[in-house]
Amino acid sequence: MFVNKVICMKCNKSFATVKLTRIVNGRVKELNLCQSCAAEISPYQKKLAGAQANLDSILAGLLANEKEKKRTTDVDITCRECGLPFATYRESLFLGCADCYDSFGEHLLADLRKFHGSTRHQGKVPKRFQSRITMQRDIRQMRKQMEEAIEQENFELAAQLRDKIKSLENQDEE
Amino acid sequence: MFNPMVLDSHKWVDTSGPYMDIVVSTRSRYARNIVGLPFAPYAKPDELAKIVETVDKSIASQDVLGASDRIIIAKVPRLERRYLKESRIISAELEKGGEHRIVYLSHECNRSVMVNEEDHIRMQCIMAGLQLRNTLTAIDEIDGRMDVSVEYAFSEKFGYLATCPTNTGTGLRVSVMMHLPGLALSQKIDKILSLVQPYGLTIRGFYGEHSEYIGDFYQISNEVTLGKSEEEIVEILDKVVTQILTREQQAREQLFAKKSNAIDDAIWRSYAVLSNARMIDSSEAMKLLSRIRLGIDRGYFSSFTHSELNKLIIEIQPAHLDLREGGNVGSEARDIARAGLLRKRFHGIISDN
Repeated sequence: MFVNKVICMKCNKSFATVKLTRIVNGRVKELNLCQSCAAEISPYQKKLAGAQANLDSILAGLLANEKEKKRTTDVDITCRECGLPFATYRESLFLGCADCYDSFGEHLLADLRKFHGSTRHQGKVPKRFQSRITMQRDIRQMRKQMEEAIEQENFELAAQLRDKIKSLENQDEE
Repeated sequence: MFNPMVLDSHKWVDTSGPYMDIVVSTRSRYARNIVGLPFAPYAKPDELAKIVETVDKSIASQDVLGASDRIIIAKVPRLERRYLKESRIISAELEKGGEHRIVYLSHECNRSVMVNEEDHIRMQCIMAGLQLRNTLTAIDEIDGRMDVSVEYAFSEKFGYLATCPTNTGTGLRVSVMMHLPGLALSQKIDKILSLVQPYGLTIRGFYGEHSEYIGDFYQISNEVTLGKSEEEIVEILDKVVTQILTREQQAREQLFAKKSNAIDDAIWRSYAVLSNARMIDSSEAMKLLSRIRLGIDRGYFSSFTHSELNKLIIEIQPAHLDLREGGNVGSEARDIARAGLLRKRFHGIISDN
Protein backbone atom coordinates (compact mmCIF):
# COMPACT_ATOMS: atom_id res chain seq x y z
CA MET A 1 0.00 0.00 0.00
CA PHE A 2 1.10 3.56 0.58
CA VAL A 3 3.92 4.36 2.88
CA ASN A 4 3.42 8.08 2.60
CA LYS A 5 -0.05 9.47 2.71
CA VAL A 6 -1.35 10.13 -0.79
CA ILE A 7 -4.59 11.90 -1.59
CA CYS A 8 -7.11 10.19 -3.84
CA MET A 9 -6.64 11.35 -7.45
CA LYS A 10 -10.37 11.33 -8.11
CA CYS A 11 -12.11 12.98 -5.17
CA ASN A 12 -9.04 14.82 -3.90
CA LYS A 13 -10.40 14.43 -0.40
CA SER A 14 -9.75 11.04 1.21
CA PHE A 15 -6.42 9.30 1.51
CA ALA A 16 -5.68 6.82 -1.27
CA THR A 17 -5.60 3.21 -0.13
CA VAL A 18 -5.90 1.47 -3.49
CA LYS A 19 -3.48 1.42 -6.41
CA LEU A 20 -5.28 0.61 -9.69
CA THR A 21 -3.42 0.00 -12.91
CA ARG A 22 -5.39 0.95 -16.03
CA ILE A 23 -4.52 1.03 -19.66
CA VAL A 24 -5.68 4.35 -21.03
CA ASN A 25 -5.14 5.10 -24.74
CA GLY A 26 -2.55 2.35 -24.97
CA ARG A 27 -0.56 3.71 -22.07
CA VAL A 28 -0.22 2.23 -18.61
CA LYS A 29 -1.60 4.59 -16.05
CA GLU A 30 -1.42 4.20 -12.27
CA LEU A 31 -4.35 5.54 -10.29
CA ASN A 32 -4.09 6.24 -6.57
CA LEU A 33 -7.60 6.13 -5.21
CA CYS A 34 -9.55 5.97 -1.98
CA GLN A 35 -11.69 2.86 -1.35
CA SER A 36 -14.99 4.42 -2.40
CA CYS A 37 -13.66 6.00 -5.62
CA ALA A 38 -11.92 2.72 -6.51
CA ALA A 39 -15.23 0.93 -5.99
CA GLU A 40 -16.85 3.22 -8.57
CA ILE A 41 -14.30 2.27 -11.20
CA SER A 42 -13.58 -1.41 -10.52
CA PRO A 43 -16.23 -4.06 -9.87
CA TYR A 44 -13.64 -6.07 -7.98
CA GLN A 45 -12.91 -3.13 -5.69
CA LYS A 46 -16.64 -2.69 -5.20
CA LYS A 47 -16.97 -6.21 -3.95
CA LEU A 48 -13.95 -5.77 -1.77
CA ALA A 49 -15.39 -2.59 -0.26
CA GLY A 50 -18.53 -4.51 0.66
CA ALA A 51 -16.52 -7.27 2.27
CA GLN A 52 -14.45 -4.68 4.12
CA ALA A 53 -17.60 -3.08 5.47
CA ASN A 54 -18.77 -6.48 6.71
CA LEU A 55 -15.43 -7.20 8.28
CA ASP A 56 -15.45 -3.79 9.91
CA SER A 57 -18.80 -4.41 11.50
CA ILE A 58 -17.70 -7.86 12.69
CA LEU A 59 -14.53 -6.40 14.13
CA ALA A 60 -16.46 -3.61 15.77
CA GLY A 61 -18.74 -6.21 17.30
CA LEU A 62 -15.81 -8.23 18.57
CA LEU A 63 -14.13 -5.17 20.00
CA ALA A 64 -17.32 -4.15 21.72
CA ASN A 65 -17.61 -7.64 23.17
CA GLU A 66 -14.03 -7.53 24.36
CA LYS A 67 -14.68 -4.13 25.90
CA GLU A 68 -17.77 -5.48 27.61
CA LYS A 69 -15.79 -8.41 28.98
CA LYS A 70 -13.04 -6.11 30.11
CA ARG A 71 -15.50 -3.91 31.89
CA THR A 72 -16.57 -6.77 34.15
CA THR A 73 -13.13 -8.21 34.86
CA ASP A 74 -11.43 -4.83 34.99
CA VAL A 75 -13.72 -3.68 37.73
CA ASP A 76 -11.21 -1.68 39.65
CA ILE A 77 -12.33 -2.36 43.18
CA THR A 78 -10.78 -4.12 46.12
CA CYS A 79 -12.35 -5.49 49.26
CA ARG A 80 -12.24 -2.82 51.94
CA GLU A 81 -11.59 -5.44 54.60
CA CYS A 82 -9.05 -7.88 53.12
CA GLY A 83 -7.86 -5.88 50.09
CA LEU A 84 -8.57 -8.62 47.55
CA PRO A 85 -8.93 -7.13 44.05
CA PHE A 86 -12.13 -8.08 42.25
CA ALA A 87 -10.06 -9.26 39.27
CA THR A 88 -8.23 -11.80 41.47
CA TYR A 89 -11.55 -13.18 42.64
CA ARG A 90 -12.67 -13.47 39.02
CA GLU A 91 -9.64 -15.57 38.14
CA SER A 92 -10.03 -18.13 40.94
CA LEU A 93 -13.68 -17.59 41.90
CA PHE A 94 -12.40 -17.56 45.49
CA LEU A 95 -13.42 -14.57 47.57
CA GLY A 96 -11.00 -13.31 50.21
CA CYS A 97 -13.27 -12.92 53.22
CA ALA A 98 -16.88 -12.56 54.28
CA ASP A 99 -16.75 -8.78 53.71
CA CYS A 100 -15.96 -9.26 50.00
CA TYR A 101 -19.69 -9.99 49.63
CA ASP A 102 -20.49 -6.41 50.61
CA SER A 103 -17.43 -4.74 49.11
CA PHE A 104 -17.97 -6.14 45.62
CA GLY A 105 -21.62 -5.09 45.72
CA GLU A 106 -23.50 -5.18 42.44
CA HIS A 107 -20.67 -6.97 40.61
CA LEU A 108 -20.92 -9.93 42.93
CA LEU A 109 -24.72 -9.74 42.85
CA ALA A 110 -24.52 -10.27 39.09
CA ASP A 111 -22.42 -13.39 39.61
CA LEU A 112 -24.73 -14.76 42.28
CA ARG A 113 -27.67 -14.22 39.95
CA LYS A 114 -25.79 -16.02 37.17
CA PHE A 115 -24.89 -18.99 39.39
CA HIS A 116 -28.15 -19.38 41.26
CA GLY A 117 -30.83 -17.38 39.48
CA SER A 118 -31.41 -15.68 42.81
CA THR A 119 -29.72 -13.33 45.25
CA ARG A 120 -31.70 -13.98 48.40
CA HIS A 121 -31.07 -16.71 50.96
CA GLN A 122 -34.11 -18.83 51.80
CA GLY A 123 -32.63 -21.56 53.96
CA LYS A 124 -31.78 -22.06 57.60
CA VAL A 125 -30.06 -19.46 59.73
CA PRO A 126 -27.58 -19.65 62.61
CA LYS A 127 -29.07 -19.45 66.09
CA ARG A 128 -27.84 -15.92 66.75
CA PHE A 129 -29.81 -14.66 63.72
CA GLN A 130 -32.84 -16.85 64.17
CA SER A 131 -35.37 -14.72 66.00
CA ARG A 132 -34.60 -11.64 63.93
CA ILE A 133 -34.71 -13.36 60.58
CA THR A 134 -37.81 -15.42 61.22
CA MET A 135 -39.49 -12.21 62.34
CA GLN A 136 -38.47 -10.45 59.14
CA ARG A 137 -39.68 -13.39 57.10
CA ASP A 138 -43.00 -13.26 58.96
CA ILE A 139 -43.26 -9.56 58.24
CA ARG A 140 -42.63 -10.11 54.52
CA GLN A 141 -45.20 -12.90 54.47
CA MET A 142 -47.80 -10.74 56.25
CA ARG A 143 -47.19 -7.80 53.91
CA LYS A 144 -47.98 -10.09 50.99
CA GLN A 145 -51.16 -11.29 52.72
CA MET A 146 -52.10 -7.71 53.48
CA GLU A 147 -51.76 -6.70 49.84
CA GLU A 148 -53.89 -9.65 48.83
CA ALA A 149 -56.48 -8.72 51.42
CA ILE A 150 -56.63 -5.17 50.07
CA GLU A 151 -57.02 -6.47 46.54
CA GLN A 152 -59.93 -8.59 47.68
CA GLU A 153 -61.30 -5.58 49.56
CA ASN A 154 -61.08 -7.47 52.81
CA PHE A 155 -60.13 -4.34 54.73
CA GLU A 156 -60.80 -5.75 58.14
CA LEU A 157 -58.17 -8.46 57.65
CA ALA A 158 -55.81 -5.96 56.05
CA ALA A 159 -56.07 -3.69 59.10
CA GLN A 160 -55.41 -6.59 61.48
CA LEU A 161 -52.34 -7.55 59.46
CA ARG A 162 -51.15 -3.95 59.39
CA ASP A 163 -51.30 -3.75 63.20
CA LYS A 164 -49.45 -7.05 63.57
CA ILE A 165 -46.72 -5.91 61.17
CA LYS A 166 -46.40 -2.65 63.07
CA SER A 167 -45.96 -4.33 66.41
CA LEU A 168 -43.40 -6.77 65.00
CA GLU A 169 -41.48 -3.92 63.42
CA ASN A 170 -41.40 -2.12 66.74
CA GLN A 171 -40.00 -5.23 68.41
CA ASP A 172 -37.37 -5.49 65.69
CA GLU A 173 -36.17 -1.97 66.37
CA GLU A 174 -35.76 -2.52 70.08
CA MET B 1 2.53 -45.93 61.11
CA PHE B 2 -0.66 -44.47 59.80
CA ASN B 3 -3.97 -44.15 61.52
CA PRO B 4 -5.73 -47.54 61.38
CA MET B 5 -8.95 -45.63 60.72
CA VAL B 6 -7.68 -44.99 57.22
CA LEU B 7 -7.95 -48.64 56.25
CA ASP B 8 -11.55 -48.80 57.43
CA SER B 9 -12.55 -45.47 55.94
CA HIS B 10 -14.84 -47.03 53.34
CA LYS B 11 -16.74 -48.90 56.04
CA TRP B 12 -19.94 -47.00 55.27
CA VAL B 13 -20.19 -49.04 52.08
CA ASP B 14 -20.96 -52.20 54.11
CA THR B 15 -24.27 -50.71 55.15
CA SER B 16 -27.41 -50.84 53.08
CA GLY B 17 -30.12 -48.41 52.06
CA PRO B 18 -33.18 -48.04 49.83
CA TYR B 19 -32.85 -48.67 46.07
CA MET B 20 -29.43 -50.28 46.33
CA ASP B 21 -29.93 -51.80 42.88
CA ILE B 22 -29.79 -48.37 41.28
CA VAL B 23 -28.41 -45.93 43.83
CA VAL B 24 -24.89 -46.56 45.14
CA SER B 25 -24.71 -43.75 47.66
CA THR B 26 -26.07 -40.41 48.81
CA ARG B 27 -23.86 -37.65 50.15
CA SER B 28 -24.76 -34.31 51.73
CA ARG B 29 -22.39 -31.59 52.81
CA TYR B 30 -22.48 -28.09 54.25
CA ALA B 31 -19.85 -25.43 53.62
CA ARG B 32 -19.28 -23.12 56.60
CA ASN B 33 -16.86 -20.33 57.46
CA ILE B 34 -15.96 -18.65 60.71
CA VAL B 35 -16.68 -14.97 61.13
CA GLY B 36 -13.78 -12.49 61.26
CA LEU B 37 -11.13 -14.61 59.54
CA PRO B 38 -10.01 -14.62 55.90
CA PHE B 39 -11.25 -17.51 53.78
CA ALA B 40 -8.94 -20.53 53.85
CA PRO B 41 -7.17 -20.07 50.47
CA TYR B 42 -5.94 -16.64 51.65
CA ALA B 43 -5.46 -17.30 55.36
CA LYS B 44 -1.98 -17.12 56.92
CA PRO B 45 -0.63 -20.08 58.92
CA ASP B 46 -1.53 -18.52 62.28
CA GLU B 47 -5.04 -17.81 61.04
CA LEU B 48 -5.40 -21.38 59.75
CA ALA B 49 -4.21 -22.61 63.15
CA LYS B 50 -6.84 -20.46 64.83
CA ILE B 51 -9.55 -22.00 62.64
CA VAL B 52 -8.37 -25.48 63.61
CA GLU B 53 -8.40 -24.47 67.27
CA THR B 54 -11.95 -23.09 67.04
CA VAL B 55 -13.23 -26.28 65.42
CA ASP B 56 -11.30 -28.48 67.87
CA LYS B 57 -12.88 -26.72 70.82
CA SER B 58 -16.35 -26.95 69.35
CA ILE B 59 -16.05 -30.64 68.51
CA ALA B 60 -14.74 -31.45 71.97
CA SER B 61 -17.24 -29.37 73.94
CA GLN B 62 -20.40 -30.06 71.94
CA ASP B 63 -19.67 -33.71 71.15
CA VAL B 64 -20.34 -32.82 67.54
CA LEU B 65 -19.56 -36.16 65.93
CA GLY B 66 -19.83 -38.60 68.78
CA ALA B 67 -17.02 -41.17 68.74
CA SER B 68 -14.61 -39.92 66.15
CA ASP B 69 -10.95 -39.72 65.15
CA ARG B 70 -8.98 -36.58 64.50
CA ILE B 71 -6.65 -37.00 61.55
CA ILE B 72 -3.96 -34.41 60.82
CA ILE B 73 -3.72 -34.29 57.05
CA ALA B 74 -0.06 -33.20 57.01
CA LYS B 75 0.83 -36.37 58.88
CA VAL B 76 -1.02 -38.66 56.51
CA PRO B 77 1.22 -39.92 53.67
CA ARG B 78 0.09 -39.19 50.14
CA LEU B 79 -1.02 -42.72 49.39
CA GLU B 80 -3.28 -42.79 52.43
CA ARG B 81 -4.73 -39.41 51.59
CA ARG B 82 -5.63 -40.85 48.23
CA TYR B 83 -7.10 -43.88 49.97
CA LEU B 84 -9.32 -41.60 52.08
CA LYS B 85 -10.43 -39.80 48.94
CA GLU B 86 -11.27 -43.11 47.23
CA SER B 87 -13.31 -44.00 50.32
CA ARG B 88 -15.18 -40.72 49.59
CA ILE B 89 -14.41 -39.47 53.08
CA ILE B 90 -12.22 -36.50 52.15
CA SER B 91 -12.38 -34.19 49.14
CA ALA B 92 -9.90 -33.85 46.29
CA GLU B 93 -8.85 -30.55 47.85
CA LEU B 94 -7.85 -32.19 51.12
CA GLU B 95 -6.16 -35.04 49.26
CA LYS B 96 -3.58 -32.46 48.15
CA GLY B 97 -2.33 -32.30 51.72
CA GLY B 98 -1.13 -29.14 53.46
CA GLU B 99 -0.51 -27.72 56.91
CA HIS B 100 -3.30 -26.92 59.37
CA ARG B 101 -5.74 -29.22 57.68
CA ILE B 102 -7.71 -31.70 59.73
CA VAL B 103 -10.39 -34.25 59.15
CA TYR B 104 -12.61 -35.57 61.90
CA LEU B 105 -13.99 -38.96 60.99
CA SER B 106 -16.84 -40.59 62.89
CA HIS B 107 -16.20 -44.18 63.90
CA GLU B 108 -18.82 -45.49 61.51
CA CYS B 109 -16.89 -43.58 58.84
CA ASN B 110 -20.07 -42.09 57.39
CA ARG B 111 -19.68 -38.59 58.78
CA SER B 112 -16.71 -36.29 58.59
CA VAL B 113 -15.76 -32.70 59.29
CA MET B 114 -12.97 -31.25 57.15
CA VAL B 115 -11.12 -28.21 58.40
CA ASN B 116 -9.42 -25.68 56.13
CA GLU B 117 -10.55 -27.15 52.91
CA GLU B 118 -11.78 -24.60 50.35
CA ASP B 119 -13.97 -23.37 53.20
CA HIS B 120 -13.00 -23.30 56.88
CA ILE B 121 -15.42 -26.11 57.62
CA ARG B 122 -16.97 -28.75 55.42
CA MET B 123 -19.22 -31.27 57.14
CA GLN B 124 -20.47 -34.25 55.22
CA CYS B 125 -22.40 -37.46 55.56
CA ILE B 126 -22.38 -40.34 53.11
CA MET B 127 -24.78 -43.29 53.21
CA ALA B 128 -25.44 -46.30 51.02
CA GLY B 129 -28.46 -46.24 48.74
CA LEU B 130 -30.91 -43.37 48.39
CA GLN B 131 -31.01 -41.52 51.74
CA LEU B 132 -31.46 -37.85 50.95
CA ARG B 133 -33.22 -36.87 54.15
CA ASN B 134 -31.13 -39.07 56.41
CA THR B 135 -27.88 -37.57 55.20
CA LEU B 136 -29.34 -34.08 55.52
CA THR B 137 -30.52 -34.78 59.06
CA ALA B 138 -27.06 -36.06 59.94
CA ILE B 139 -25.25 -32.92 58.78
CA ASP B 140 -27.96 -30.72 60.31
CA GLU B 141 -27.11 -32.32 63.62
CA ILE B 142 -23.39 -31.62 63.18
CA ASP B 143 -24.18 -28.08 62.04
CA GLY B 144 -26.54 -27.42 64.93
CA ARG B 145 -24.01 -28.53 67.53
CA MET B 146 -21.21 -26.48 66.01
CA ASP B 147 -23.49 -23.45 65.82
CA VAL B 148 -23.52 -23.35 69.63
CA SER B 149 -19.87 -22.33 69.86
CA VAL B 150 -18.72 -21.40 66.35
CA GLU B 151 -19.79 -18.03 65.02
CA TYR B 152 -20.48 -18.64 61.35
CA ALA B 153 -19.92 -16.07 58.61
CA PHE B 154 -23.50 -15.35 57.66
CA SER B 155 -25.48 -12.58 56.05
CA GLU B 156 -29.22 -12.15 56.11
CA LYS B 157 -29.25 -11.53 52.39
CA PHE B 158 -26.83 -14.19 51.13
CA GLY B 159 -26.99 -16.80 53.87
CA TYR B 160 -23.90 -18.80 54.82
CA LEU B 161 -20.99 -17.05 53.12
CA ALA B 162 -18.72 -19.43 51.25
CA THR B 163 -15.28 -18.95 49.72
CA CYS B 164 -16.73 -19.60 46.28
CA PRO B 165 -20.05 -17.83 45.60
CA THR B 166 -21.31 -20.98 43.86
CA ASN B 167 -21.67 -22.48 47.37
CA THR B 168 -23.16 -19.48 49.12
CA GLY B 169 -26.64 -19.55 50.61
CA THR B 170 -27.36 -22.90 52.16
CA GLY B 171 -23.81 -24.14 51.53
CA LEU B 172 -25.53 -27.44 50.83
CA ARG B 173 -24.45 -29.86 48.17
CA VAL B 174 -26.35 -33.12 47.90
CA SER B 175 -25.21 -35.74 45.45
CA VAL B 176 -26.61 -39.10 44.50
CA MET B 177 -24.45 -41.70 42.79
CA MET B 178 -26.65 -43.67 40.42
CA HIS B 179 -25.87 -46.79 38.43
CA LEU B 180 -27.81 -46.58 35.16
CA PRO B 181 -26.81 -49.42 32.83
CA GLY B 182 -30.39 -49.89 31.61
CA LEU B 183 -30.71 -46.34 30.34
CA ALA B 184 -27.16 -46.41 28.96
CA LEU B 185 -27.65 -49.70 27.08
CA SER B 186 -30.93 -48.57 25.58
CA GLN B 187 -29.35 -45.26 24.57
CA LYS B 188 -31.83 -43.19 26.54
CA ILE B 189 -29.28 -41.78 28.92
CA ASP B 190 -28.46 -38.54 27.09
CA LYS B 191 -32.10 -37.59 26.86
CA ILE B 192 -32.70 -38.29 30.54
CA LEU B 193 -29.61 -36.46 31.65
CA SER B 194 -30.45 -33.39 29.58
CA LEU B 195 -33.71 -33.10 31.50
CA VAL B 196 -31.84 -32.56 34.74
CA GLN B 197 -30.24 -29.18 34.09
CA PRO B 198 -33.38 -27.02 34.12
CA TYR B 199 -33.89 -28.12 37.74
CA GLY B 200 -30.61 -26.50 38.83
CA LEU B 201 -28.96 -29.90 39.01
CA THR B 202 -25.78 -31.15 37.41
CA ILE B 203 -24.29 -34.51 36.45
CA ARG B 204 -20.79 -35.75 36.97
CA GLY B 205 -18.94 -39.02 36.50
CA PHE B 206 -17.85 -41.48 39.17
CA TYR B 207 -14.73 -39.56 40.13
CA GLY B 208 -16.50 -36.22 40.52
CA GLU B 209 -15.82 -32.97 38.73
CA HIS B 210 -14.59 -33.21 35.14
CA SER B 211 -14.56 -37.01 35.19
CA GLU B 212 -15.98 -39.14 32.41
CA TYR B 213 -18.97 -41.39 32.83
CA ILE B 214 -17.40 -44.73 33.58
CA GLY B 215 -19.20 -48.03 34.13
CA ASP B 216 -22.57 -46.25 33.73
CA PHE B 217 -22.17 -44.45 37.06
CA TYR B 218 -23.61 -40.95 37.26
CA GLN B 219 -23.50 -38.46 40.13
CA ILE B 220 -26.45 -36.12 40.24
CA SER B 221 -26.17 -33.09 42.48
CA ASN B 222 -27.65 -29.65 43.05
CA GLU B 223 -25.84 -26.68 41.61
CA VAL B 224 -28.07 -23.96 43.03
CA THR B 225 -27.46 -23.21 46.71
CA LEU B 226 -28.93 -19.71 46.97
CA GLY B 227 -32.62 -18.84 46.84
CA LYS B 228 -33.83 -22.32 47.73
CA SER B 229 -34.14 -23.77 51.21
CA GLU B 230 -32.37 -26.98 52.20
CA GLU B 231 -35.72 -28.76 52.16
CA GLU B 232 -36.51 -27.45 48.65
CA ILE B 233 -33.11 -28.55 47.34
CA VAL B 234 -33.61 -32.05 48.71
CA GLU B 235 -37.16 -32.16 47.40
CA ILE B 236 -36.11 -31.31 43.86
CA LEU B 237 -33.37 -33.94 43.95
CA ASP B 238 -35.80 -36.45 45.35
CA LYS B 239 -38.26 -35.78 42.53
CA VAL B 240 -35.69 -35.95 39.76
CA VAL B 241 -33.85 -38.96 41.14
CA THR B 242 -37.13 -40.84 41.63
CA GLN B 243 -38.02 -40.08 38.01
CA ILE B 244 -34.67 -41.40 36.80
CA LEU B 245 -35.07 -44.45 39.06
CA THR B 246 -38.41 -45.30 37.49
CA ARG B 247 -37.04 -44.86 33.98
CA GLU B 248 -34.05 -47.04 34.79
CA GLN B 249 -36.33 -49.76 36.16
CA GLN B 250 -38.45 -49.58 33.00
CA ALA B 251 -35.38 -49.63 30.77
CA ARG B 252 -34.04 -52.72 32.56
CA GLU B 253 -37.40 -54.49 32.30
CA GLN B 254 -37.56 -53.77 28.59
CA LEU B 255 -34.02 -54.91 28.02
CA PHE B 256 -34.58 -58.11 29.97
CA ALA B 257 -37.76 -58.78 27.99
CA LYS B 258 -36.59 -57.87 24.51
CA LYS B 259 -32.85 -58.35 24.49
CA SER B 260 -32.37 -60.98 27.15
CA ASN B 261 -29.87 -62.99 25.08
CA ALA B 262 -27.61 -60.05 24.36
CA ILE B 263 -27.82 -58.81 27.96
CA ASP B 264 -27.11 -62.24 29.42
CA ASP B 265 -24.20 -62.64 27.03
CA ALA B 266 -22.70 -59.32 28.16
CA ILE B 267 -23.15 -60.22 31.83
CA TRP B 268 -21.59 -63.66 31.52
CA ARG B 269 -18.72 -62.44 29.38
CA SER B 270 -17.97 -59.88 32.08
CA TYR B 271 -18.05 -62.64 34.65
CA ALA B 272 -15.72 -64.73 32.48
CA VAL B 273 -13.13 -61.97 32.30
CA LEU B 274 -13.41 -60.99 35.98
CA SER B 275 -12.96 -64.56 37.14
CA ASN B 276 -10.04 -65.30 34.82
CA ALA B 277 -8.09 -62.16 33.94
CA ARG B 278 -4.48 -61.90 35.09
CA MET B 279 -4.17 -58.16 34.58
CA ILE B 280 -6.92 -55.56 34.53
CA ASP B 281 -6.97 -51.77 34.73
CA SER B 282 -9.50 -49.91 36.85
CA SER B 283 -11.51 -48.56 33.94
CA GLU B 284 -12.09 -52.04 32.43
CA ALA B 285 -12.84 -53.45 35.86
CA MET B 286 -15.45 -50.75 36.49
CA LYS B 287 -17.15 -51.48 33.18
CA LEU B 288 -17.27 -55.22 33.88
CA LEU B 289 -18.44 -54.77 37.47
CA SER B 290 -21.19 -52.57 36.08
CA ARG B 291 -22.47 -55.58 34.09
CA ILE B 292 -22.24 -57.83 37.16
CA ARG B 293 -24.29 -55.29 39.08
CA LEU B 294 -26.92 -55.56 36.37
CA GLY B 295 -26.57 -59.36 36.63
CA ILE B 296 -27.56 -59.27 40.31
CA ASP B 297 -30.77 -57.52 39.29
CA ARG B 298 -31.28 -60.19 36.62
CA GLY B 299 -31.25 -62.80 39.37
CA TYR B 300 -27.72 -64.11 38.88
CA PHE B 301 -24.87 -64.19 41.42
CA SER B 302 -27.31 -64.58 44.29
CA SER B 303 -24.44 -64.92 46.75
CA PHE B 304 -23.46 -61.32 45.97
CA THR B 305 -25.14 -58.31 47.52
CA HIS B 306 -25.14 -54.83 46.04
CA SER B 307 -23.11 -53.51 48.93
CA GLU B 308 -20.45 -56.18 48.39
CA LEU B 309 -20.24 -55.09 44.79
CA ASN B 310 -20.06 -51.42 45.78
CA LYS B 311 -17.23 -52.31 48.12
CA LEU B 312 -15.38 -54.01 45.28
CA ILE B 313 -15.73 -50.86 43.19
CA ILE B 314 -13.90 -48.94 45.92
CA GLU B 315 -11.38 -51.71 46.61
CA ILE B 316 -10.17 -51.85 43.02
CA GLN B 317 -9.16 -48.18 43.06
CA PRO B 318 -5.39 -47.59 42.84
CA ALA B 319 -4.57 -46.41 46.37
CA HIS B 320 -6.70 -49.17 47.90
CA LEU B 321 -4.71 -51.79 45.97
CA ASP B 322 -1.39 -50.09 46.70
CA LEU B 323 -2.03 -50.04 50.42
CA ARG B 324 -2.98 -53.72 50.37
CA GLU B 325 0.26 -54.43 48.56
CA GLY B 326 2.20 -52.39 51.08
CA GLY B 327 3.06 -49.27 49.09
CA ASN B 328 3.03 -47.71 45.66
CA VAL B 329 3.66 -50.76 43.49
CA GLY B 330 3.34 -49.19 40.04
CA SER B 331 0.64 -49.66 37.46
CA GLU B 332 1.56 -53.12 36.17
CA ALA B 333 1.77 -54.71 39.60
CA ARG B 334 -1.45 -52.90 40.45
CA ASP B 335 -3.25 -54.34 37.45
CA ILE B 336 -2.04 -57.79 38.49
CA ALA B 337 -3.18 -57.23 42.09
CA ARG B 338 -6.54 -55.96 40.87
CA ALA B 339 -7.05 -59.02 38.69
CA GLY B 340 -6.05 -61.23 41.61
CA LEU B 341 -8.52 -59.58 43.98
CA LEU B 342 -11.35 -59.85 41.46
CA ARG B 343 -10.50 -63.46 40.57
CA LYS B 344 -10.63 -64.41 44.20
CA ARG B 345 -14.04 -62.77 44.65
CA PHE B 346 -15.54 -64.20 41.48
CA HIS B 347 -13.94 -67.57 41.17
CA GLY B 348 -16.24 -70.47 41.91
CA ILE B 349 -19.38 -68.39 42.30
CA ILE B 350 -21.98 -70.90 41.26
CA SER B 351 -24.73 -69.23 39.40
CA ASP B 352 -28.34 -70.23 39.48
CA ASN B 353 -29.00 -69.31 35.87
